[in-house]
Parts: sequence; C-alpha cells; structure tokens
Amino acid sequence: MSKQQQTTDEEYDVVIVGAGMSGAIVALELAKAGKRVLILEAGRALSDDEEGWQSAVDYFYTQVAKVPNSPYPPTGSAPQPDVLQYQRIKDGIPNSSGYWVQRGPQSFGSDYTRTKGGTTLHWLACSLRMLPNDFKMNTNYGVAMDWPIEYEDLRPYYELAEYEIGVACDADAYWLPGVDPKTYWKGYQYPMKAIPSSYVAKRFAEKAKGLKVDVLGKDYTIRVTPTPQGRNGMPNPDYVPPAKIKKELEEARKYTPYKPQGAFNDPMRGERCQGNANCVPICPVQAKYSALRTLHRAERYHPSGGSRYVHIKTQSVATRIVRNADNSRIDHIEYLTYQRDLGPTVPGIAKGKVYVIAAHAVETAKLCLMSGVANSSDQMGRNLMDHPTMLTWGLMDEPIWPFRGPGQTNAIASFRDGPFRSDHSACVVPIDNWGWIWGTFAPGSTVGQMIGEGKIGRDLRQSLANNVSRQFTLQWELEQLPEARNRVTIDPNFLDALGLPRPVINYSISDYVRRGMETAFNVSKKIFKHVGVADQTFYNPANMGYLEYNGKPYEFKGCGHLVGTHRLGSNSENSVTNSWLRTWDHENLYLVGCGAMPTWGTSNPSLTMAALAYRAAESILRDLNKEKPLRL
Amino acid sequence: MMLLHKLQALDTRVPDLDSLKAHLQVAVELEMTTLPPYLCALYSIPDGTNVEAAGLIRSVMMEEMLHIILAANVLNAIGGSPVLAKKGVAPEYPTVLPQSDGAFSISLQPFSRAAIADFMRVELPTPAGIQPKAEGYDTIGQFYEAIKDALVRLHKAKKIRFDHHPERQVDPADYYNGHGKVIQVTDLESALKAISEIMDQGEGTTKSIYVKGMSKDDLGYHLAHYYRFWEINAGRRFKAGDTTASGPTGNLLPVDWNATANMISNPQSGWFAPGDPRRDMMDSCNAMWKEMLRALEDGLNGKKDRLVRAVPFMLELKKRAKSLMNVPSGIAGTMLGPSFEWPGE
Repeated sequence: MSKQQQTTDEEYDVVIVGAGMSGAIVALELAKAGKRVLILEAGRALSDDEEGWQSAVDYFYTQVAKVPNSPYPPTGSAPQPDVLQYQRIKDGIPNSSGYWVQRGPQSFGSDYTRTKGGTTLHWLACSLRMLPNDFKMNTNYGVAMDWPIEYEDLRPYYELAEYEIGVACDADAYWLPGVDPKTYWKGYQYPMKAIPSSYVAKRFAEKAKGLKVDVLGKDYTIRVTPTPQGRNGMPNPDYVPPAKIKKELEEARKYTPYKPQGAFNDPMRGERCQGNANCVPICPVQAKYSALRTLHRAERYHPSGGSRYVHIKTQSVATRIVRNADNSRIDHIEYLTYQRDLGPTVPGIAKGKVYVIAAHAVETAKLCLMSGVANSSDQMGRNLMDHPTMLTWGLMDEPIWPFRGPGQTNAIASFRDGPFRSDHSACVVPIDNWGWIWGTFAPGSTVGQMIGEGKIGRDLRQSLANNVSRQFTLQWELEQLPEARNRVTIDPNFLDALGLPRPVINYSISDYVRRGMETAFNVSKKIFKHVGVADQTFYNPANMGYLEYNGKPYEFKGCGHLVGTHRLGSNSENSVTNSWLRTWDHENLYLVGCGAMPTWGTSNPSLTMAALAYRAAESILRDLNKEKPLRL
Repeated sequence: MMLLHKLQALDTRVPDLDSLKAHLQVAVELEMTTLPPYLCALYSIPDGTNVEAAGLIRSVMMEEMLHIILAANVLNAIGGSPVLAKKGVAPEYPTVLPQSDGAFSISLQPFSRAAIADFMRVELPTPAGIQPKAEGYDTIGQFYEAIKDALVRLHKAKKIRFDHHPERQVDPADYYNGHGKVIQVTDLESALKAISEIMDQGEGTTKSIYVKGMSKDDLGYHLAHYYRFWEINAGRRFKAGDTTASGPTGNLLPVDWNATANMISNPQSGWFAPGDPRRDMMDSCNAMWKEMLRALEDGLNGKKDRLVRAVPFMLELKKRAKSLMNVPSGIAGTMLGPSFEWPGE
C-alpha cells in the first residue's frame, strides 16, 4: 500500500460502495430528497458513453465464448470472477485459478461485474416478484427462515422498482400458483405491455395445453405464463405510476402514464426491444434496463441548477469500513484509487453520516469480513445461494426457430409453489429461446458433430437447418435454501493485486435441491413425451456441475443469482440486518443488495433487491432527518 | 432552389378540401423521398466508425419517419388515406423532390462530403417572410405554411372535419425512439400542432439553430436538421452561444471520410440479367423495401399491428442493404448498394 498522506473528501450525507442497481436507486432517492451522496466504484466507467457502449458491443462480438462478462473485461486492480476459470473441484483441492478461490465440494457457477453499472450490464432483466409463500418458508413448509415482513409489506416497493426498471408484462395473464390475483396485484398493471412471446414459447404453450403431471401425489397442470421483463415494450395506457412518482412527474410537468426510457446516452435509441437474442450479456440498443440509466439520472440531478447531488468515483476500491471507538457507528471508509491498471494507488477516506455497502452479495460480505464489522451474528458471508439450474433438451418434432427474440419470454410457473416444498425445491422453468447453446454449445457443436459424421455442402446445410431449427431446451431453475456452510470467507493466503483478500467460496448442493432435480427430470420426461420432443439430455461426468442422486446423473449450472450473504431477519442472532437493511451492529451502516434476502423462492432476485433498496432509502432518509426509526 | 413548383398552390381564399388532401399526400411523399438517401449514408458507415456522424444522420432519419406519421395523422383526420406503397409514389433514384422543377436531383450514395452537402440542400432552412404564391412553392416551409393556412380557412368556412377514422391515429405507443412527439389529430388545434412539429424539427429557420421549443439544455438532439448536417460537414459541434452566422465552434466531431462503403451511386437492378446473383440480391433488397412500405401504409390506414411488423422488415432491409455494399458492382472497383426500386407486382 502506498505511504502517501491519505486525503479526506468533503463530508457527504451518505457514502455508498458500489455503482450497481441498488446503489444507484439509493443514490437517486436520496438526491431527490436533497442529500449529497458519494458513490465509490471499484471498477471502471467502462461503457459509460456512446463510444464505450459501442466498444463493449464490439468487444463482445470478438469473444469466442459469449459468457456473461465477455463484453466487460475487469481490471487487475479490481478483479472479478470469470466463469471460464471455474472448474470441477476434484479430490477436495480448491480451485484458485481465477479471482475466486473455490473450495467446493461443488463449484459455484455464477459471477458478477465490477464496473460502473454493475451486474445489470449483463443481466437478463427478468423481473419476477416473490410469491407470498416465499416469505414464509418456515411457517408453511418447515424449512429455512421466515422473513420478518410479508409480501404485502414489499408490494408498494415492487411498484417503485418496476417503474424505475421499466417492466413489461401482462398482470391479467400472469397466473401464479397459490396466489389470489386480487390481493397480489390490487388492480395493478405493469408499465408496459408484455413483450411478445417467442415462437418457441408460443408453440410449446399450445402443445403443452392441458397437460397434467403428478408430483408427490398431487396433479399439477403445466401453465405457461409471461415472464415480466425489464426491457422496453409498448407502453401500457392503463398503467398508473405509484403516487410518489406521479407527483414528481406532475411537478416537473412531464406526466404521462409511462414513457419507456431508452439508452442512457441517446434518446433516440432503445425505446423498444428489437428482438436481439443476446440480452445476456449486452443489449446493443439498450432496450434492456441497466443501472447506467439510474446512475446518469442521479449524476445529472441538480434541480436548482447548482452543484450536483451525486458524485461517483470510479476506480476507487473500498478497503476498510472503520468503526468509531464504541463500535456503534461507522466513522469512515478507506479506499484506494488507481489511475492505471495495477499502477500505484492513492489512499482516500470517505466520510458521511450514513454508509451503504451495495457491492454485490460476495463483495459486500468480503468487505465487511475484511473490516470486522456487522458480524456479531456470525451470519456474514453465510447462506450463499443461487438458482442451481438443470437443463433438459431435445429435438422438437417441428421447427420452432430458436434465437428469435429475447432469451426468454415465458416460463412454466406451475412448480413455483406447492406442498412439495417441504420435501424439495420449487422451480421456475423458462422456455429457453437459445436452442441448445447452454447445454451443448450448439449450434457450433452441431456443426462440428455433423462434419464429424462426414456431411459437407448442401447436405450439411440442410441437416443443420433441420436440426438447429428444432433445438428445444427447458431451464429448470431450482430454489436453494440458506445453509450456514455455503459461504464467503477470506483467507490471508489468497490476496489480489492490491493486497486485498480474494473471496473464498464454499458451496454445496443439498439433498433438498437434488430431490428437486430428480423431480424436475421426471417431469421433463413427461412433458417432452407429450409435446413431441425427442430427449437428447446428457450429463457429462467431466462437467463442472455434474452430480448424482439415488444413483442417477444430474448436472446444474449457475444462474447468475447470488443471494443471501448478509441476510435480513427478525433479530440480531439470526441475521445481519433488519428488514430496512440497517445492520443490527452499527446504527449508520446499511447493506443493500441481493445478499439481504433470507429466502427468495424462484424469483430472479434483482427486482426484490431493487424493492428493498427503495425501502432502505426510505429508512436512511428518516435517519438523516432524525425521524423515528421505522419498525418491522 | 425551386421546390414544389409543379404543385397547384392552394387557393388562399377558399381552398378546396381535395387539394388540401393532395397537399398532405405530397407531404408524405416529400418526407419519404429523404429516407432512402439517409439510409444509404447510414448503412455505408461500418459499425464502430463515424459513431457520432452516424448518430446524427440516424436522428434526422428517425424524425423524417415521425413527419410521415404526422402528415398521415392530419390526412386521416380530414378524411384522406395516405398512400406509400405504390409505384410512382415510392421514389426511385436518382430522383427530384416531388412536384419540384427538377433542378435538384437526389441520389443514393454512400456517406461522403457530397452526400452531406446534398442533405444540407434538402434541409435548407426557410428564410423568414416569404409568402405563398398562387403557383407552386419555393421552399418546403412555404408549402407547409400553405397547408396550415388552408386548414384554418377551411375550418372557418366549416368545410372540414377532423373526426374521420379516429382509429387510424398513430399514438406514442407506435412511434418511439425519436425526438418530438406523435400528435394525435382530433381538431384544428392538434392538426396545426402536427404541421408545426414537422416544420420546427425539420428545416428549422435561418434565425436559430435550435428546434423551436428546445434549448441547449435538453438532452440529445436539439438542433434543426440542417444544423446537424452542418456539424458533420464542419467536423465540429455547435456549442452554447453559437449562431447561424458563427457556425459550429464547439468540440471536435471526428469524421473519418474514408470509413464508408465504396458504394456506387444510384445502383440499378436492371444492370444485371435475371439469374445473376447480384440481381437476386438487389431484387431481394427491393422486395423487403416494398414489404416495409406496405406494412407502413397498412399501419397508417387502420391496421395498427402492421406498424409493429414494419420494424423487423426494416432490420431485414438493413441487413440486405449492408450485404450489397460488400458485393463488387463490376464498375470501376465500386460495390453495390440498395437501389430502393419499386419491384414489379
């Protein structure tokens, strides 16, 4: 570390670590209330202008493996996990070949992005609300832990999040198991009409109509529902924004029920999804929400024309959250700024009244563990979860033309809830619109295989057209429950280029999930038979996520959903924060992000994270204004 | 420049409704004529090069699309039916502006200094103070003034209604990605607003570089079309305080005049015999242009869902046009390009 004198910034109202979606939302909310905010971002402002965005798109095009982080190379000074460096963990030997150290027994398959905009740069933008039962797993099913709040408590915040992200879906057509639409929606309409279904999903839904399958003695009808998506579609004229938003818009004389927000840097782009199939990792037209939209609005926010309210410092890695003498409060945050990658760093001190760590589940836990804060419960870094995803695939008996339109537009919702959750995982099953690419690297592998069979010329082209157009995949995203042993830790033996600890990950797949895989596999067989798919599923024992249960092979992949490392809860024994995301240990420290969720069912986590960020912002504002803290 | 000279001007006293409809149809054609040249320039720029210049051309092109829709909204409201997909209506290149004296020819050509110079001529602002004449119009601004004038007079004379085909009015759900708003025409006021929107955004005035009602503080494209092309031509941005006299004196706008397709001007499918693969490619590009115009025309005549279909057609058109720019024409080392011809029925 450099021995230069540490420079202290001017004092802000709030210091946020992490310029991703939740940091952006908190910053914008506080700015609107007249608070001054500093955001420290470890990564670069990589795609922060027109040229940067375009070069990320171009860089993605040149990459052989189109993995989630392929358009967004990290710096050495702020490294990030790279799924291409994950491997099957053999003989208990940890894999330390990448930024993470993976101790297993299973390899964690998901990653995140350390750059301005965070992981929303590569997310798929599926924006599912949790189901009411997802909040009460212990009461209902005798597993995991209940949330201290219920769905109804979060519902208004979901509406704020859906406005900010811009979610397209049809609430009336959105069937959910065990849900009473009247109390779930309360008459709500999404800001935009549903994105049109992919042809794959449309044909599947028609073919699967009326099919019932048995799970643990109960019949479940296969029901295909639209996936709420954070990408732009037709504005819904019946949409009514939350009262708070409506008031803001009316005051700015900009009220219209909903106007899709396009590219952050170009008002003439991105107001509609054009059906590019590479939503992950990059939407070339920016019809998909990224936190850059919110960040740019936050940075530009200066209603009086005076100085701006939100200041973002990129290439500034937080290194320590420092407590005051009696531990009750955070005094400041230390950070290192680098100008050149792996070049010398300049230390800095960020001071605010309230501190928010919003650095993504793994990095937030890592920073807190490094700093020795907020861990009296010993829950910090524990309960790391993903949606272990099992794929089943085969050839449809007719062309279904994958790769047209977004990666997923619809999913089977039938198994998102049910009494079976006492025994095994619930799952949501997107109708994949990416052929077999995730399972087999098709269509590339299909070409290789056919050339191997001696096909050339017209024969090869015809065989490919006949095969690739019928490739069908179901994506079984399985609910995972919190387990203390699945965790992020730090180890002085494993440090990064700045001398900071690298995340050490312990991860395992429980029998609860394995039973879920077994059920999913059997249900998949029945569905395939009914809809006319010739099953081609094959799990290679050499693959990273290969495992066995009851003597049968299965395989899971990471879903990109990192959750649970600083969970909220009802008390300081079982959790790190309260339901407003304020740490039990330090009255001015908030941990915002997917790490907050103690359970999360089968919903993709970002929407719930965003809703919680609005909640946290509300509480922070009360703290700053010295109002009585909120209960729950 | 003598524009719209062949068009019988609207009677300034009691205009005739049918000739107002004819004027609005000409307005649709006028805006449509500019699309293919802008598309050629845009498609000829390789991805990732001339990023800012391409953005400016694209922004103008998007607004021309809006103008077609605005003119169609007015035409529909007063009882007409916009026509786009028809031989003779869809322009063929090189062409002259509809109803003009033909002095100024418009070509399909790649992004180049010459193309930008032509675009500036097309978008030349209207000098203030010129009054409509009995026969023909000197400027596009004058032409639109005459339309506004006729709308007001016919309304006064109770010879016009604005409540025809309300289901045909295109609304903001169907038009997006552009500045300016789709205005649904239901009465005289909204009709005048729609025409003003076309005028303000497009040619602008000789007095101000900004689109009327916008200022330098607005995010995005606040310059009138002519001045956006001026920026490309000058390789410099306008900055606050710049005027029509000063020209752009702001930041450098890097333009690489070599980063463009070597496309031959005004290619013709007829150069190649049927069966020649080059002919096939040009035919398939023209077929997509026709599909796109048909979808647009249907969409402006009550079949709203066809507007949505126009989008993938547009993307496919781009793909086919760009592939043509990689095919040697066989003439002086140039490449082919889209010809925007109206294919046979």
